[in-house]
Amino acid sequence: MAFRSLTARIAFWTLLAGALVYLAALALVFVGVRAVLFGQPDAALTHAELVRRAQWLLGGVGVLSLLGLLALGGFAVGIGRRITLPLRALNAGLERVARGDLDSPLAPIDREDELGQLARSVDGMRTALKAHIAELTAAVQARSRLDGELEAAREIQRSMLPGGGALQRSGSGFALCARLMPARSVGGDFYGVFRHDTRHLCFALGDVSDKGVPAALFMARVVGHLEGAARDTLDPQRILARLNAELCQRNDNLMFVTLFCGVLDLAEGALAYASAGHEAPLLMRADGECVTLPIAGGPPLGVDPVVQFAAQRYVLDPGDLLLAYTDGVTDARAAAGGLFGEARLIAAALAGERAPAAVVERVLGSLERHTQDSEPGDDITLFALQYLAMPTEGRHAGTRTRFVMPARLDMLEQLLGRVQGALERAGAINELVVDARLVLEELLTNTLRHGYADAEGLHHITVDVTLTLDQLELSVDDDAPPFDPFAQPLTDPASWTDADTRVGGLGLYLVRRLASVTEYSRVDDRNRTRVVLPRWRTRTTDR
Amino acid sequence: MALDIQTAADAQGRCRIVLRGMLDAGTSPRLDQELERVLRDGAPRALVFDLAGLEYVSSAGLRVLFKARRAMQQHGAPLLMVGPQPQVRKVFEIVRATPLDEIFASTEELDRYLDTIQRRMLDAGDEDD
Repeated sequence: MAFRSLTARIAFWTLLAGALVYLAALALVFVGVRAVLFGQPDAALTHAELVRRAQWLLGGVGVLSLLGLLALGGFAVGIGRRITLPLRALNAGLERVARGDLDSPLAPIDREDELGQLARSVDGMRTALKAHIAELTAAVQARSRLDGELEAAREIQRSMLPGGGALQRSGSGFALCARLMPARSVGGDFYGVFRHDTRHLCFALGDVSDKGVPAALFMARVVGHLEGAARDTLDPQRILARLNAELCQRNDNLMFVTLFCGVLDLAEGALAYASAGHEAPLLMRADGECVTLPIAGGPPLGVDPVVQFAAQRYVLDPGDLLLAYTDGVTDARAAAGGLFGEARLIAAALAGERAPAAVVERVLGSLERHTQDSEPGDDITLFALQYLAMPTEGRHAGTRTRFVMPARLDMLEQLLGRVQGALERAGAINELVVDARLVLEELLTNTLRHGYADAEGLHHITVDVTLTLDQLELSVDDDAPPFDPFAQPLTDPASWTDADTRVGGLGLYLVRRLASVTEYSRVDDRNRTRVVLPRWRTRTTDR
Repeated sequence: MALDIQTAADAQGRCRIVLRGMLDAGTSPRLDQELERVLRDGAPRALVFDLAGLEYVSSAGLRVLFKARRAMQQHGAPLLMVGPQPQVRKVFEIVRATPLDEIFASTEELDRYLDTIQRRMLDAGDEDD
């Protein structure tokens, strides 16, 4: 007899045993009663005999019931054992699983009934659990590797920004504070600050289209070219044009960047600026008013290689503070859905002390209250720059350095190197350093070749170098025979018949074209030659 | 600072001189000697100065370059300059003694120009035949 279900099997055997016992008892009662009542009807049964037979009958029924009860008990124990033994094995297996041992298979129960099914299901669960955990582990490992790489990328990106994304700096004539917080671990916002010299501060702030890793890579490109584009020029328009030309090359993905660039003249407060599709910064004026800086605008960088950018100018008063930002600030969304917006930005900026760090902290605090715990959707960058009056003595007083050299050609190179080093240390831009070297080389070569050709004894030449905020003055003082290098009229070398025939012709022509002032005097039997170079002229390549 | 000079002739009979460093009163005599050596065995079909690594030039350096240009002109061959840095280009522009069409921003631009010249010369040669 094979029942698949354990319930059916228990029911069947219980019914069968019960029926057998019942039938046996019934048969016994039937035979007994018949024997007692109808056996030997002729014989007169004594009363004692009748009682004896009835006792036998009752005793038989009693014994039979007892036997039946014992059989049922034994049966129940057998059934119970068939259930509990495999369950106990199964339980032991589950305890191993609970301890985390998913590798040893559960003891199989080779039966077709519920217990067999249960054992197979539990073992199936164990293998499924094992596979699931393996998958999960692999996913977690991959994720943590990616997280590690993103973390490294974030560090690299931070290192590209001055101050690593949180910059606070102040100097003669200015104070600034910049903060950048990427939306994901890497982002496309950036800012940069460059000093060409002690008088000018060049800064830029931008936002690359898109977010995440592609934006971060393009951002690295922009930052990499920014400093080169800002080198040797104080014209933001030109910085944008150079950067644009660079970014338009090999930009097949058509990534683009909005950028605001400014150069602040710390001596006069004049701010030259240009914007490539970037939000107009706020201007918090010293008189308490807050306005948006007028922006002529232009397209973002990286799209059109021939586009022009408008140069604009605004003269700041001491105390004026410029607050530039990226759209991650105004577009920051509250959990309820409202944008932070320009009104909240202005309100936060104005609600206290007008100093770069204080303004930035207030705006960030207000932003945090607005967005609560919701994940920022975009990078957030704030850049506050305050113009402060420069100390007056720094405006006009210059630093004068005197160099004395023996009047010998082989000492020239050393002198030029020393002047160059002094100018670089004093904060002169590269163009001015090169021009100064050229002027001195031409003047001194001329004097040494022609003025001291036949000189006897020890002679010295004195060179005074004076760098002020506006100009560089070079004075050469020598005791050679009188010679005015600027006596000849200035003529175009292209019209010369032979440049080599003139004494120092080409070199002196260069000096006179570079200088804003040239002077010669003969004092106390010495030649005094004075040349002034403007400090802030940018390169004249277009003519 | 010193001047580094590297001279190389190519298969087309052009001579390329790569200058690095400072070309001034102290270093220009060395370039002068090098040019004399190059021109001694007949002028190349073109003389190309690669100036990308040149950081400084003064009138002494200009004089040597002009002298080379005059020598090349006598042979009817061009002297070309490629990739001058802004501060060097500025000096060229001030003296205006170097036609700007002899200065090329990059090697690619120069190569395109030389290819055009060569093709024109070949075409002219075909017409003669």
